[in-house]
Amino acid sequence: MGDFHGEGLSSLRHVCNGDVKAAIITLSTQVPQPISPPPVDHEKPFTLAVKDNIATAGLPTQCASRILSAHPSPFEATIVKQLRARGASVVGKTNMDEFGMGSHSVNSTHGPVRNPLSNDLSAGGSSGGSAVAVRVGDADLALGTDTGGSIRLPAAYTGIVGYKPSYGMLSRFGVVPYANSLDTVGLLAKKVQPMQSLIFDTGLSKEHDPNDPTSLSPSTRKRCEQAMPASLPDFPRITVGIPHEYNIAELDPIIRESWEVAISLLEEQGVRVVPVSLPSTKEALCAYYVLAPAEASSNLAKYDGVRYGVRNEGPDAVGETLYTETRGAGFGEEVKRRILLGTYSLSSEAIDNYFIQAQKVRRLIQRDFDRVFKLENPLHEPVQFDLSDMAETTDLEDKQGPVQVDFILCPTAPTFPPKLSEVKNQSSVDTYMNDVFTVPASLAGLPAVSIPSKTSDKDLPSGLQLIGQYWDDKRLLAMAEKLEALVAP
Amino acid sequence: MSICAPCRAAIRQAFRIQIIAKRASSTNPPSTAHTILSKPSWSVRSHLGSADSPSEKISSAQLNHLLRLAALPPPRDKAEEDSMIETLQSQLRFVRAVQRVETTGVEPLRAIRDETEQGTRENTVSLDTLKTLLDEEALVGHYKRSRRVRTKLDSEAENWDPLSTASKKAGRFFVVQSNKKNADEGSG
Repeated sequence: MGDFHGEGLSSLRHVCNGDVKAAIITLSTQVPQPISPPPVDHEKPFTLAVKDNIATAGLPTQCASRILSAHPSPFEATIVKQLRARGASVVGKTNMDEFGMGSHSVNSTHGPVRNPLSNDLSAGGSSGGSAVAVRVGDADLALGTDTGGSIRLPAAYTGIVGYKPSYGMLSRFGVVPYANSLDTVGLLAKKVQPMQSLIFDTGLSKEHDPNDPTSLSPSTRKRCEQAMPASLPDFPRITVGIPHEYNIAELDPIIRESWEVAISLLEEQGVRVVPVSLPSTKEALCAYYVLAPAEASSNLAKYDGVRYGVRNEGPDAVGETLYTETRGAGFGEEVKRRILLGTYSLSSEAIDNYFIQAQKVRRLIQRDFDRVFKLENPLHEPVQFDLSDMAETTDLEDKQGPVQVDFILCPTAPTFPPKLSEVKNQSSVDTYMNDVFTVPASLAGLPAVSIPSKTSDKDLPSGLQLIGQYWDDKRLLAMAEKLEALVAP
Repeated sequence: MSICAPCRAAIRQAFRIQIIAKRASSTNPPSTAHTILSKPSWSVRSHLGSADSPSEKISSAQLNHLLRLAALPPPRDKAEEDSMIETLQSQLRFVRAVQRVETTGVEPLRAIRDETEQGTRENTVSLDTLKTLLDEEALVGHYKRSRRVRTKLDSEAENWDPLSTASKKAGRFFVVQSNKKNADEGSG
């Protein structure tokens, strides 16, 4: 199948003299590219790397899975079209964890992605290839997807900027779904500025896609935009919250230190920094690992090898169940594990205690954030809450209640990138713990950005994450740019 | 009770100092960062539990049922079955903390979407939404049943050949092959 792709696939490209293996798995130069429309005058042309679960015309879309090996998508994702129209030339497709399931970009049919900062370290996942492509300069900008931290985590591990916009802002049409209530398209770059200008100066944040039912409607976009202040105030009028629950025992002391340094630097500039409490954080990770696999088991049910995808010669069944042969051979181990977990939590005896319960916890997580932010969440009517409902750990400012904040500042990952050899020996549950700081914003659909920060460890930067209220993306990136200037390695 | 003017001033002064001191301590102490972050609040490892902590027990029959529902191949041998059960149980041990949260009366958050009154109104399908489509219907036959008038769609998606990506096909059909040895019934 797809004869014209065969050649491109056989050669995995070795970036940086073979140090960084398989960041880009298919290069645009190997296949004919659709002719991009000429960019509008004021837009500068730029190079773009695209995560392999985003459909591109001319290049295969394989999701790093054997089951989609060499799959030519019959159409191109809206986001790729939008970026081509804004001056992007696609340099290639990037390696990832199969269907986005992983935190280290090692669950790939193309082999693991390596971290350019040190060859034996994890590059983070699942958008690891996109992060590396940007880090080594193969692309000015990369597209990734973030379901539970898949953009922010590799950005933190490779020392670049990773931005997950508000859920529903960028179109998901043409993005292969993993957990569709969480999947968000986002960007990776070395600096905040290029993404800021791409999303807001070119009007990308205003574009609704009728092909994507989760893309916010034009009228909702308008309401959201009106609800949000247009620009960031001066530092003394900004309040930043430090969540108690993100200070976990597993947090690397050097990362905690860089967090403290960032707080002090902001305070020196006049920013008010206060502790806040997000009590549902503790269960967020568990809720995520109920919801995402459940949605995945449903989304991945369509891969049967009949209409597209790879299947072996011979019958399509092992035993009596059809398609088991294709699915057994086509999916990797982690994908099968998550499908099985999701199948369990959706089964009739478990759905109430697991799936529905996790959706209720998800509501509580959203509520936690809404109580902490100064701005109301534009997605629902303002909700009054009693102080008696709040967790005991909450610090009250006065009898009116706790102090409310513009942004939340926390680390992106609890540790520095682990060695690939360690990752290999970890159980899947062990690797789930990496996502503890990124999952809450995903569950609440909030915009979040990871920026690299200097640390007392000379070689490795840490990632600092800023989280904002829903649709407060513009101010969030403006704040990220200011913080970037203070903490950049 | 009345307080004489100088006393009142003194009390006011004392209060003011207290307020200033309080404000200073909450906004700009020597190191807010260190005070906030001095003590870790919890450990993620607490979710892992130990191998003998209670979790859902998955039986061999249950595992095979789940595999069939997921259209995944059954385990090849007892060892693989045991390891699959152990993995699933460890995952369940990890996620079961969601059950300790009190959620009575909490509306599940199924998707991130506009839940404001206006948003819900806009997304509700009403007769008005369908009016243009209904107006295009024609009344057919004795009982004047309404029927959609078929129009030719002129869309890019219509020009796509769905069979182009299928690895096995028979003429204009997809092929699915069951495991039965008598090959002829294979296609469908």
